Amino acid sequence: MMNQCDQARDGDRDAGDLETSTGAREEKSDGDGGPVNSNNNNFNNGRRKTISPGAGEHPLQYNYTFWYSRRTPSRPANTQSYEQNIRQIGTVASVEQFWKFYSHLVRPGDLTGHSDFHLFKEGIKPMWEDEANKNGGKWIIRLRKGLASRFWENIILAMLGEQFMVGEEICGVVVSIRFQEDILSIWNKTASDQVTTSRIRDTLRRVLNLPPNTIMEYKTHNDSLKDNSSFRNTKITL
Amino acid sequence: MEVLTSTSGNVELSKRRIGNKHLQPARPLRRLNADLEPRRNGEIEKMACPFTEKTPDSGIGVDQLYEIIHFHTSQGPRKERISYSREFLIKLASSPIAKRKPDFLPDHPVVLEKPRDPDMPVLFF
Repeated sequence: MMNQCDQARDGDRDAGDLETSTGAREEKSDGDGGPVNSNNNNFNNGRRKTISPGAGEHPLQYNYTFWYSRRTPSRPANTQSYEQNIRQIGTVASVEQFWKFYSHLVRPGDLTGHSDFHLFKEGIKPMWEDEANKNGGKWIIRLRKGLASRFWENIILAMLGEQFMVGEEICGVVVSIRFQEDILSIWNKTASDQVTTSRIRDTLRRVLNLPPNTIMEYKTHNDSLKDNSSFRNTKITL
Repeated sequence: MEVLTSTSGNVELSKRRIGNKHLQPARPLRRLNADLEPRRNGEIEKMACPFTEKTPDSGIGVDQLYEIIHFHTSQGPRKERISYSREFLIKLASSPIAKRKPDFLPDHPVVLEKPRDPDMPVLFF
């Protein structure tokens, strides 16, 4: 069911989109992180208004913000490109508001090219350097093509429904559409907190109904900053 | 500073609560007012007393203020987490309100004009 790919760790996994094969190794090779800079246009295009549940709606424990990012093949990625390519779509405070946005967004499985949907707690940017993320890391599940939409929905529902039971630790979830595979990630605040990370892993297995032999990988954002990649050089657990 | 940040957090939370209370009918309140009508003069007299005594800020002392702040910060609803099962969330997806287009949605290739149908059969698992 899952992509049990050994070649996943061959070092060129998430940089390998053929559309941008030239110079891909030097580029920022993936979509979920990049250096912060002061050019914050895309982060501030949402309204500053406080989002709250409407009358009669079911409130969520946290507000969440949808983001979308896509690597533009024409322009070589530089330190600013990630932040410039990521776009806020909207923030939700209730279950009903979530469904409104979700049902008006393309399924991740129908996306093409190198693109990502992110759903993060309001106030946390889907960037390694964000205050909430800088000591954190993420679990990675590689999916063969065709599974992304269903897994994305299930991981979102588990997060919104507070199924992980790790206090404030969850930061957000990402689905990354890549050339030969799609990747699901869930970010948490404290990479060194093993009780938390293993609880997240076990909950993922349950809510995503993963087969027991599914490979799960963990990577700290600090390591991602060092090798400038999201999905290479991960720690594997079975 | 700590007190300040935690209380501002609470303001937001209590707003949420107030939001939900709008649902309650306002009628009982009006009825209360109506009942009070005949006794209005008496009420005014009682109310007048504190003002003539000239004790400004008699409402809340510093100690009480701290008590209130402590009460609110220690009793945040964060402790009882709002959790929902997958089945419940999916049930809400079919409510008419959940299919309305959000008021603010950027014009973007990944944004659809009309809501798409739910991805997957609920009975899949």
